[in-house]
Amino acid sequence: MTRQGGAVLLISLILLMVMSLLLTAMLTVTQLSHKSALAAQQQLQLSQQALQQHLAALPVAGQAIPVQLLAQCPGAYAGWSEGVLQCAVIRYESQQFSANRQAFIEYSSLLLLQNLAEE
Amino acid sequence: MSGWRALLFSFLGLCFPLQACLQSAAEPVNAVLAATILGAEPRQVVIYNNLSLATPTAAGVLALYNANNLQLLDQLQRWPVTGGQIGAILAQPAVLDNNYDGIADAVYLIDAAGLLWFVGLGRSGFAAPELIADFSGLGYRFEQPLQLIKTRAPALSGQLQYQVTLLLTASDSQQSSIVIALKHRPQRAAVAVLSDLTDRSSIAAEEQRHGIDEQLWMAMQQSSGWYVRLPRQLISKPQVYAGVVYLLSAKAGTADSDCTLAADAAPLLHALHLHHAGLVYTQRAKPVALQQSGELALEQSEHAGLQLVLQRGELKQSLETELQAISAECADCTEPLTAAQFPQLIRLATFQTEYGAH
Repeated sequence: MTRQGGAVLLISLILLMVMSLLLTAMLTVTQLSHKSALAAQQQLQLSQQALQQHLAALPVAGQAIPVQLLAQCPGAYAGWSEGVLQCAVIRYESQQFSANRQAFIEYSSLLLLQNLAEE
Repeated sequence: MSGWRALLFSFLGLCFPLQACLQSAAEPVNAVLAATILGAEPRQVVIYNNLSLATPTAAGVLALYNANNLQLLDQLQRWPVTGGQIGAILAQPAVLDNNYDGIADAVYLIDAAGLLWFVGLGRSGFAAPELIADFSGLGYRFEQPLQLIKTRAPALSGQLQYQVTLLLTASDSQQSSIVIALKHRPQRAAVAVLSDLTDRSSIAAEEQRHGIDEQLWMAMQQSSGWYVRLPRQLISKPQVYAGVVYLLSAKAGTADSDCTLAADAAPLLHALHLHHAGLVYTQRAKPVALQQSGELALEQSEHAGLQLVLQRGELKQSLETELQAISAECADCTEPLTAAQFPQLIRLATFQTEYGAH
């Protein structure tokens, strides 16, 4: 091989390397931007899904649930004389992780349990 | 006053003969007060008025005792009025717990003449009394228990706002009665008088047919409350169930001290809307057959569902079986009140917390 041929090969190899580096960088950037574009949507989807599950799993009246009794019932439009109603507060929590377990969403609800006081 | 004297007084208070069919009980009112030392357990206290102290003819006094050892913690005898004294406090006071922590924040009381007071409660006892309404000079004697109803009522903005409504009943020398529903507005500095309240003693024929007038309802939302004068004698303590004020009355002078009714008593069961004293059922009052009055109560039974009964010892008499609840959807809206609605679970709020990201 002549000296000139060697120089051309070297330049070609360098160019090839530069091109492949550029290509890799571009691919990474595209992937990143795609990922970041999806992240927000996934976060929203996750929170929506977690909220739906939370609401569906809320305790229903009559279920045996740990409660914190209130001394007095909070005021309501249709008010009651004191001592007729018995009120308790229930706190219900549920969590959900994202598929890659890097995001985590928690919902907690405050529920009021009203019942007629036992005589 | 030492502990044993307070005990003796409460005993005498229980024995004090009742003059009228409807009068406050002589028992003191129980309450829970914050501990004097930070972090200690709250204290159980009892609040005595003139009736429970068996001094019904003396000047107005309110005493606070430790429930465990009957040690006097505080006493109110001097009031911010000319002369420093008010009439005897015969009506049972009502205790307010504003923040639902189980600890009493204030007490409402009314003297026999009709001065309504708000007294804050702190670690050390009573705060300075604050006069919130003056119903004196109307000829009524206020000795029937004071009731506190926590409600949410429409305010100027159209939104429902938390408020305290005080339900008062009194009678005059002719045994005519008055029912007063007063909204306590702490931001209002002026002392409320009867003319600040809407007179709902009678309702127009138009209202019977089409419900409360919109303008009147708007005006009532801004007023301090309502009152209903009855040319009759009250024979039961009012009870409020699902926004309806229930009470029993009879012809003046036809009920004796143990609430036995004369043959011509013509007892009526009244049902008034808590927020405007208007119609909830087809009539505001309906005749009931009674020989003796007692206490109104709500009974939940498997076969009869939810019903309004009159209780007299072991005896129970059904007064109303198809109960109604008021609804915030409109001024006259009602909905059936049934036993199936209880227990009721209401979602107050849902909070969200997020950690990390995708």
